[in-house]
Amino acid sequence: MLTYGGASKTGKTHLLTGCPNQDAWVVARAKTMYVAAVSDGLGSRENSQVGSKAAVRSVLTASRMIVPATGGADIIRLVHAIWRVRLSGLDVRACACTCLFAIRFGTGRLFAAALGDGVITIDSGGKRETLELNGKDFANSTDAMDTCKPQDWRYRDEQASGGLKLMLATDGVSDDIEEGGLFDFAEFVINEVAKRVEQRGRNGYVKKLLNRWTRPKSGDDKTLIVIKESA
Amino acid sequence: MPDSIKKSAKTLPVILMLDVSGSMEGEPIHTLNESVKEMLEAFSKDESVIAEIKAAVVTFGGDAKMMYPLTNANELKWTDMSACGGTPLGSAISIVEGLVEDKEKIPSNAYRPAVVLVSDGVPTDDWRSNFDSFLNAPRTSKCHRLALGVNMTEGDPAYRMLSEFVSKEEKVFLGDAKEIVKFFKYVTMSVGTRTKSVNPNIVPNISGESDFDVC
Repeated sequence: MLTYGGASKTGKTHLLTGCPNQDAWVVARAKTMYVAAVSDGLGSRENSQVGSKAAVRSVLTASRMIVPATGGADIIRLVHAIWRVRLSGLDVRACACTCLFAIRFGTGRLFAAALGDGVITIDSGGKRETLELNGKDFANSTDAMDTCKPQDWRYRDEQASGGLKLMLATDGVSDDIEEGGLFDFAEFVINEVAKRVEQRGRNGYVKKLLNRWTRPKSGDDKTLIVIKESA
Repeated sequence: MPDSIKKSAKTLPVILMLDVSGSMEGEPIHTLNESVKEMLEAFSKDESVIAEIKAAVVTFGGDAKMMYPLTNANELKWTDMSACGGTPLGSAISIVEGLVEDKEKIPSNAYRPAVVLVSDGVPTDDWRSNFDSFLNAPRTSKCHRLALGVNMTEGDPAYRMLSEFVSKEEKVFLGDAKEIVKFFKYVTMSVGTRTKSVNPNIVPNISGESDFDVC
């Protein structure tokens, strides 16, 4: 059984300037897999909300084309190629965005990949890993889909046990979590989401959390997905 | 609400590197004191919804020292500087590099710092290697760097040094003591605009709104 909650919230700076939310997210389930993705459009680019939506949809499209033998590097190339095709006719630099996603296959394979800032946390039966941008110098400085090279992506491709817990967050959320606090935060949100019976209530809890965010002057768009597998 | 959400705001650090050598005595040091005070007051009233401005002041005159460590602008109690001694810019820039590169003091979720250099002459210490290190270090190389040359002209060796110092979106400002006031108004406007923009790392183009002698 899969329990998840996700939501996105427009940041204060965008609300004040009349700009749209430039983040995008998706969770989709099929018989033999599920997919989750978040993307953060770069604030300084004109069409980054178009780029971020294209990114999460590209992950969905790519997930349908993957076979067991498809390697991690090829999955990333596929997502990137679909993103570029989706944006045909547009200036991709104006659509710059990050992309973080996880694809869980019925075979037990977990493929999780991240480009740019934000974070994915993976808790696989107590074995904890994060995928995040290392060596980031300052806030809002990130790799993005328009100019990235294959080596800019970080990914995990592994057989994971059941009972997996995942969190995917854009930097509007991850930058605001205390050092070393990501898994506590993820656990808290997963437990709250799991208390809700209906999907609407689960997404609603995440939305409420983002709306009542307590860090002062935290003006970025915020997007958060948590996922819990259970028997 | 989870406990692990940070309690303090993201910061936009502004680091002043100020020449207080003997040649700044008189009107320049007086105007510099007044201008910095006015800028810090403006910062303390900044109503950004995304960042808190923190300021640090490193002075170089006789010796180089951290006059004020990085402090919230509204908590910084200013004491006027006095001018004396040589111009140990090399030591001062090394102090600033140490501050910017320290992720405990300026965490990676702070916005790109602004480093503001005011000087009126060539350094009197062995500055070149520290200067090059500053321009090439991972974080200082990405800072928004601004500079004002007091009482100097384009042909001066000190001007060439300041030209190397400023980041690509900036030019060296030149002028006499009176221009110090205008320069700090420009810095105030630039930082204030950044704290209200969608991406505070991008330096706004506000040159049309100022009346500087920009080279």
